[in-house]
Amino acid sequence: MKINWFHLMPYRWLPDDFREHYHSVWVDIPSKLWDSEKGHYLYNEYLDELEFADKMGFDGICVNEHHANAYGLMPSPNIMAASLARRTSRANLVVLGNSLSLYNPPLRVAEEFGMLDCISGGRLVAGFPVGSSMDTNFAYGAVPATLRERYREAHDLIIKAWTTPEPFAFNGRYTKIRYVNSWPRPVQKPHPPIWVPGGGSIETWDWVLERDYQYCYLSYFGYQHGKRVMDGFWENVAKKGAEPNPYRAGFLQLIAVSESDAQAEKDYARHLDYFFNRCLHVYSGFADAPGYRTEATIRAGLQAQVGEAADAFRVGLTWKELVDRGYVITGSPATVRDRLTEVIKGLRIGQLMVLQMIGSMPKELVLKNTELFAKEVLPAVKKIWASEWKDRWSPRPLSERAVPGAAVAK
Amino acid sequence: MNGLQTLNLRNGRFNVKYYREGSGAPLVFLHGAGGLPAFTPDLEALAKHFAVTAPLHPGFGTSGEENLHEDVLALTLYAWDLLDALGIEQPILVGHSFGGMLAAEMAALDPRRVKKLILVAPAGLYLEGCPTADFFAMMPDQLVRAAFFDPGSQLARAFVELPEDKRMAEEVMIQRVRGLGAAGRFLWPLGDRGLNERLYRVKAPTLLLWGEGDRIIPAAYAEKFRELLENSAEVKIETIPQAGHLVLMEQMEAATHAIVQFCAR
Repeated sequence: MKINWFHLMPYRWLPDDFREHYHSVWVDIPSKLWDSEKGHYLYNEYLDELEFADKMGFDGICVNEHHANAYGLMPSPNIMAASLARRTSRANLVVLGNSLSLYNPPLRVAEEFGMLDCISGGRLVAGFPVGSSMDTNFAYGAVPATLRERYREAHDLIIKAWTTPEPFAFNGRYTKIRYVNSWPRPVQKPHPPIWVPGGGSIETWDWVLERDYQYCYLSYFGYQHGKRVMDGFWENVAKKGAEPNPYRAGFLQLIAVSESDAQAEKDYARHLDYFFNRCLHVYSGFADAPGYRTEATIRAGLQAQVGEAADAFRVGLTWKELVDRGYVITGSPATVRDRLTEVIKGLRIGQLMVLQMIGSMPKELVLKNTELFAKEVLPAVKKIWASEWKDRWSPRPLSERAVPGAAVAK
Repeated sequence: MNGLQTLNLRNGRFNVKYYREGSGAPLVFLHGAGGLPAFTPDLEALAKHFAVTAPLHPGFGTSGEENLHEDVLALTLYAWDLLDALGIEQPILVGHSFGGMLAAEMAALDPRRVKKLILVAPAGLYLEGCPTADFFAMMPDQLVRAAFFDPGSQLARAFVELPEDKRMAEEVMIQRVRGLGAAGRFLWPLGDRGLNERLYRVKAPTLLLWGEGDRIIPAAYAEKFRELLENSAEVKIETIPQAGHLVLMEQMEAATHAIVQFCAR
């Protein structure tokens, strides 16, 4: 079992009346709510937290890409990953990822991921999300109906750039380049492991399995909601006759550990409330632009994680409801261990993304949550699957790597 | 669907559904992003004067949407191919909203072939400081408030009403999303795809018909169209009071009368 520490980088100062008086946390949130001085400290603090997770022994640290979003302050995940590549030495850099169709030309992803893999000595996971409708269609103006085709073409270009040892010409529908020539090239051969974060679009499952990529479902709503998507994924694995290796699947889980179950509520309740009632306050009309989801996915009844349908199971929940429904796994280390083991086995996942900085948590709580988890939960859950299955979806770093700063050290 | 005929175009690449009613001069009606659920009363009114042909665009009950990619030229050529296949030589083109943009593109591409051009609250241009309202992001109740002059009218309420049967309601919703997604290939993100650089080619006498209270594509756009058209074509603006974006539905008599009058000149 691999455990990766995931950051969203939320803005922590959304006003108390945010839900009542603001339209949406995403797409059209007024940027006058942003304070740049706070932003300076915030980015540095959040990077510190990711570096702390590296020291605490997590297998990977995760960044991601969002645009015009007050709960996800990483429009450029590669800037974050570059900083982390120099300041960490052990953990995998899980960039989940670059929304391929938003890079023009998408060859940029091949280049920047190549750089990150070189700087980090082969610790990169290359995440290839399609990107949410809010990010791609509304914030970046991409045409919804052609987004997936654009994504797939971008993918083909990147893989070809990574695996072709000579310059070549590319004549796609969206990108045309006479000389595709990606310098530098990644350390990992033929390329870094590719993870595809999905929201439950059924075509993605086939596509991922055909290429033997890892699939991860980044859910904010825990086991019960995740089960439907992951069951669908595993059914597809069986149908395709692929190896039912848990490591080919990942899942994101909110986790809040404290000394006891009662103390957990005291520590974390208001920050969870901030997350579910302010951070996830997304206007329904932005959830799912017409054409973003395919007809087949709509017919399969799979719903977006934000918007009208999601609001129904999110707004105004009490702490007890959040816990009972499993949106957050919380309590004493023993409680968290037990429930998390259930989730891992129930969903059959080999890569877990833990969200331990939730909503408005201050750094002291983030560090406490992370340290308790690392010391009291991580060792036990790491053993799951380890003897039964081989992980083919994690990075293969160089065994000897450069030490940042060493070249000019006295 | 009732009254719909089918035509196979380009060896099955497009399986086109269309309505055809009435007699007289050929009039082609191009519907907007909301689709054309039936041969509506405004079309019935026009069919008393013209031979009305109203095709469903690709993605709106016709297959072949993906063959148009997101290319306005491909859409425009498709539309002319369709009229060729239907044997319509010198049409009066009436287009509403997205269909208005398509009608304008057709008239710019093949200016000698259009007898009269009637653009009803057409999409396709961008007016600085006054972007088209983002109807793609509207929930049904907001759409009604934006699209109708009188959102409380029975007409407006019926517009978003869903069938009581759950499965039928779901089907209606899927068809709506499908149509909007298809229109989005050419409209998203509500900017100008180059129509402003092509309108100078239009030669057909053009009527710009607008609902005075249009909150989706404000009536201010009529002036912008006029400015771009008037060097090459004769242009008339007619604004209908007490009507919003769906002016043909909301003020059917006044709007269809304006079309008939313009064509009689």
